[in-house]
This record gives sequence, structure tokens and C-alpha cells, in this order.
Amino acid sequence: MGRAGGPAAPPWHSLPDEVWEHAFSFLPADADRGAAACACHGWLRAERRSRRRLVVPNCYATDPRDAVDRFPSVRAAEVKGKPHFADFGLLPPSWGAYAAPWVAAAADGWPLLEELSFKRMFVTDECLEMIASSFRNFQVLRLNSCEGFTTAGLAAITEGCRNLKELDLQENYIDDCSSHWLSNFPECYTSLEALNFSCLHGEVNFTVLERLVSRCRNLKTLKLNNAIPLDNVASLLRKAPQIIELGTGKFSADYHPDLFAKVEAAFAGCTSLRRLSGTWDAVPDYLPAFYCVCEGLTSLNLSYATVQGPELIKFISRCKNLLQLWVMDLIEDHGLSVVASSCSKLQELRVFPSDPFGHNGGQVFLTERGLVDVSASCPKLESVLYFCSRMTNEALVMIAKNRPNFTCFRLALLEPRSPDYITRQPLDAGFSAIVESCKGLRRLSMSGLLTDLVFKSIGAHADRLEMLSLAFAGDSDLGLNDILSGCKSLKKLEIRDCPFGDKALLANAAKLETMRSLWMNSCSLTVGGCRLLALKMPHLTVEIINDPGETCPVESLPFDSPVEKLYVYRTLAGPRSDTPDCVQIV
Amino acid sequence: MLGMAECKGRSQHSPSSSMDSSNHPALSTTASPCRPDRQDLSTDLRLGLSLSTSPSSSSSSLHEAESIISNPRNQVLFNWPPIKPFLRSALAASASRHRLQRTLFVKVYMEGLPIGRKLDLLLLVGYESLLVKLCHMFKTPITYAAVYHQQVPAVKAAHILTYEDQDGDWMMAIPDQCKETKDHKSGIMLSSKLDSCGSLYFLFCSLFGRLVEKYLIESRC
Repeated sequence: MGRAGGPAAPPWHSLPDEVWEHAFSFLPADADRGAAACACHGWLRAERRSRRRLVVPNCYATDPRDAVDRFPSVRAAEVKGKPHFADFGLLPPSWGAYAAPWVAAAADGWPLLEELSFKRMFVTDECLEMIASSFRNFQVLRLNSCEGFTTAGLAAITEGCRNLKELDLQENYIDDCSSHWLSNFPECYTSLEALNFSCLHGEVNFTVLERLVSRCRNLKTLKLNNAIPLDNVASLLRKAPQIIELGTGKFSADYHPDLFAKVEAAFAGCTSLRRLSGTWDAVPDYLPAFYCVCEGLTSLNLSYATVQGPELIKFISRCKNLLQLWVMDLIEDHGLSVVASSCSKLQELRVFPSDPFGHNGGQVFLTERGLVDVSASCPKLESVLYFCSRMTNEALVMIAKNRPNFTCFRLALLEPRSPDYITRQPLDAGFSAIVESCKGLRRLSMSGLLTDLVFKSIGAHADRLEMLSLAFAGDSDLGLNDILSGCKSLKKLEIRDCPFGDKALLANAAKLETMRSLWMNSCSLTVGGCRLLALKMPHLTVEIINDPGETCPVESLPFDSPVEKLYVYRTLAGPRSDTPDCVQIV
Repeated sequence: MLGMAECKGRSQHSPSSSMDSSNHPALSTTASPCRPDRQDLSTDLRLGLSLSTSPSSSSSSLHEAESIISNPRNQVLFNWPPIKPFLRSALAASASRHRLQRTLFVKVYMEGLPIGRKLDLLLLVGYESLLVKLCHMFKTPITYAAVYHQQVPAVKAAHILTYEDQDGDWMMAIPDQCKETKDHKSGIMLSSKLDSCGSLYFLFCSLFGRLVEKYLIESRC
């Protein structure tokens, strides 16, 4: 800054905004751009006007119109709504996260918008119609874990978005009102590059699909739904051998040599195939049809595949270049040891439970052994989600020692509060070893028997931890206090069924403003404590969520009434006005 | 378990009820006063697994862990373990499809252990995978009679696979022969016999008539 009588201001101060905008375009991370914007008014102006990509991780953190005003040049926006635990049914369905205000604000202020992504939000057909009619160069629509719309809304998109490149529908709840959304793509339309309708339950017109696939020569991603039989999948592949990512439809059929030959030939033509997924009730006899693509696969998602046995293992073992493997625990320890020796480039492993509620008498043999083997032999492994029935501290310590490069470690023991099954001790030592060894750990989910001791370690060592999920853990408020007073980088904390009360929250209220959100359910919170927290921290929204049907006004409840569900998040917008009756903002 | 009860109803022979522990030479010598009642197999298997004496601590821990798993848990726990609804419904759909398919549940007992293990033969592919599965379950080598006699020096405590036919006689399993019995109503193998130095005894009880290949025509139970 120029001072009176001092040296003149440096020449870069008078550079035009366009130069700064160009400079900022090299900053890859939004956080860096945000930091630059804080430096001075000039940089703030240049940065906000040149921001092309905006991510809003909590749709209630700001008013949509403010976001659009602040960043007028956005071409790609991603907005996320409900908290993560909504995935497991812990949020009442009417809670909120409506996409409509965002679509309306975008339609007003971002006419050149090209990409829109919504995750865990309520998206209506009207929203989709507005998207289809408001943005003349709209190219990418991604809806993940959303609900509220039907195939009629999809029809508006396919008809209205002439430049659509990507329609990605992942795990949404879509009402099928039998509209021919697929047929609405005009005959002259050829720009489709990615189509994912795996979550749709209804039939699609296969002839229409086949014609669409034939004329869209740039199609790289195709994820089909369960209604498309294997025979048709093979036909589609012959029309689109350039495909990179495939989600098969219903991959099950009685073995027939002709069909096998057809499938095998179809896959043989797909030399660019790198990512494979699908809902496979796969008959093992068909797995060899995939052998020709195994070598090229980098991602394999068998998380819906109930296939098991030697064929599964043989198949996976041929995928020597896998970076990402999602599989059911039907692979068992033996299968994982084969993965460990075959897939040396593995970076991410997710193992899902085939019998999560114990109805089938526990025939699966997936234990801690499988994870120990993979962590020992896969040097690049950095992300794990592992459902299993038992664990030991020793195994966790070994895993921590083998793989200090974990960035994401999520362990879900099927039985809550399971101790070390050999020593019967809590798993404190094991998880402490993980956080002490894995200095780059960004995400951690813990389960099993855990005392306050483990939280001491986490608070002290997990400096890079951004997201922590706890269930049935801890003994007292000390545990929560250690987390909130440590964990410098913590952004999201989600807790269920832990004996944590108001004290730790109130003592660390300021910390909550440095975080994106806090979720707690079935803990030991009280209405009075939440009220105090809200009073103390005006920039936080403190939501008390009851079961739908229970709408007793919070004001009338005594101080020590228990709070079943609490959701706290920082916001610039003040309390939201679209809460259902079961949600009260204190 | 549902599969067993249903298949039991369909089988003409109900061999489970024809099994009588007093007929079995090996069984009559076992000290297992708490041998489960064979008539009510579904109850057995539900409650059956618990701590038992076994050669290694890890195996008993496995049984204990299995007893946690085998009881349907979390009926009062809300939404644990944390799986997404799509996976939940896919598993439910798959489970109901499997209930429509035939299952061939058998029980394996190890002498000295009153607690048996349950196995669905139709999930296996042939005798090799059965051997592998059994070895895994009981952490002990199991083999066929012919093979055992050939490899005696190498394997000192192997368990030979034998089976019980519909007359209640214990026969040594020879894979080729056994395959021929697949059309035979009494099919099924099972078993391992006491060898001269070993002390383990496996019993594999056939509950249903036919041993079939794994790709059955789906049929409603």
C-alpha cells in the first residue's frame, strides 16, 4: 500500500482485473481462490467475477441469490443438501433441501450455466422443466441421492437440452410415470457422452436406446438399469465399442453357450473399457465372458453383485490394473488375499455386507484378516470402507503400520460395541494407531467398543481430519470435548448413539463455527443446552429434529427435555424458512 | 431356517428324522450330552453356536463371533449397520430370490464339539470347493480316502471324507463315484472318518434327497 512520503505502490497494484482473473484461473482449489479473495478488495473483485465453478456443500449455508450475485460468471455449480446420515434413514423425509430456490436463482443470474449437480436434495419436475428452458447451453445434469421428481421431469430435460452431454442419475428415487423420456432426445441429437439411468426401475424402450447409442459416437459412459437383460447389453456394446465406463443392466441369465459367445464377443470389442459396474445377480458361468477386458479395468464395482465363489476370485485376480474395487463380503478373506497379491495398484477398497442384519446365519467368512492382507500388499491403498463382523487391536495396529498413507478409513463392525474379539478389550488402541500413523487421514468412521481414551488420541493427532463419524462410542462428554478441542481441520462431525451431552458442545461452541456442520442423534442433549448454544452462536443454525408427528413446540418444553436429533451448521443466511413441523430452529 | 424348513417339507424322505444318534457308532462314543436334538434342526442351528472346547483359541473365538452373527441382530437398533437404502433393497430382493430357489442345507459336526456348523451345498461347486469350505470352517485338513492313503507321510492327521447313504451306512467318499450318485435319491457325501491318530470326526448329515449341481432350475418352495 502506498504511504504518504513513502515509496510508490508496487506496479502490480494497478494491473487490470483481467490479469488477476487469469492468474486465479490457475488456482485449482476453491479454498485457494477463497483465500486469495480475502487478500484485498481488488483480488476479491477479480476472483469472484472469474469464478467458473462453485461448490455449495450445504445448501442452507447461504441464500441462493446471494451466491449467484457474488459469483456471476459461474458455469458449473454443485449444491448439496441433506446431511450424510440422511442416507441411513435418520432424517425425516420432509426435512428440506429443496432445489427449487437454487434453480430459480440460477435461471435468473446464470443464463450461461452449463453444469448443475444436486446431491441429497429435493428436486421436482418443475425444477427440471426450468433447467431445460433456462440455460441455452446446458450440458451436464447430475442428480445424486435426490428425490421428488419423475420421468416426466427427465422428459423435459431430454427434450429441451439440445446440447446435453451428460445425464447422470445416481441412486435417486424416481417415480416412473411411464413417460418416454428416452425417446424425447431428438433424432438429430448426437452429443451424448454420458448416460446413467441405473436407478430407474421401469422399462425403457430398447430400440430407442439402441438408436441413441448408435448415433452418439462420443458416448463414453453408459450405465443401464436392471430392466435391460444381458442379451441387450451385448447388443448395445456392439454399437458402442468406444465405451469407457459401463454399468450393466440385469446381469443374470441362465447359462446358454450362444449368449455367452455373444457377450464375450461384445466385450472383446470394448478395448477402451476401464470402469465396470452393475446390478449383478451374476451367474458365475458368465464371468469368463469378461476376461478380455479385465486387464484394462481400473474400476470394478461389484457392490450389488451376489456372485461368490472361485469364479469371482478368478475374475478379480485377472484385473491387475485395478485402482478401485467395490465388492460384497462374499469375497471372503481368501478372496481378499488373492486381491492383495493380484491388484498391486489398488487405491480404494470398499467391502459391503451381504447379510447386514444376520438373517442368513453368518456363513460369510470375511474377517479382519482380509483387510490386513490387502493393506500389507497394496502400497497405494489409501481409501477403505470395510464392513465386517470382528476386529482386533492387533490387526488395526498392523494395518496402521502397513499403510500410513490412508486418507480415508471407515470401519463398520456389524454388531455395535463389538470389542476386540480375542482380548475383549475396547478397540481404542487400534484406532489410536490408525490416527497416529496416518498423518494425512481426512476421513474416519469408527465402530466397535470405544471409550473416551480413543478420542484423546484423535483430538491430539488427527490434524488433517475433516470428517469424523461416530456410533455407539465413548463414555462421557470428555470424549466429545477432546474431539472438538483438537482436530484442527474438522469440517463435518456426525454422531449417533453416544453418551455426549450439552457440556462439551457449549464449551466448544466457537469451534462449531469453524466447521461446516454437526449432526448428533440419540445422544444426551437437552433442549436447554441447544437453546444456550443458539444464543451463544448467532451465526449457527441449531435445528432440533423430532420424529414426524411429534410437533411439540420447543419453547414450551422444559430445559432438560431430551433432544433426539440435532443438526447444527454455520450459515450466512440466518434461519431457513422452509422447515417442516418436525424441525424447530432454536 | 426358512430354507431348511421349506426344503424339508418338499423332500419325500425326510432323512433328518431318520437319523438317530444311537445308530451311529462314532456318535455313541462321543461325550456330548448336549448334542442337539436332530428333529428340530432349525432351532438347533439358531441357538447352536456357542463357546466350545476346541484345539485352538482362535477357532473358539470364531465360533463365538459366529454366535453373535447367527442371531438376527439389531431388531431394535435403528438403521445399523449404515447401509444405503439401495443396497438394502437389493439385498432384500436377492434374499427373496434365494428363498425361491432350492437350498440344500446340511449340518456338520465335529466330534468332541457338540455344536455343528451349517452349510448350503448348493452354493458350492463340486467336491473341491466343499473340501475347501470345510477346511476353512474347521481349520483342519480334510481329504478323500484314496488320497490320504497315498500321502500318509505328509499328512499326519487328515480327515477322510465319508458320507452317509440313505440306509444310514457310512461310506468313503470317492469323488467319481459320488458324482454318479447325483441322480440317486440318497446322494450326498459328507463326512470324515476317524483316522488312526486323529481325534476329529466330522459328520455331515444329509437332510434332503438329491445332490444336484449348482445351477438348478429355479423353483418356488
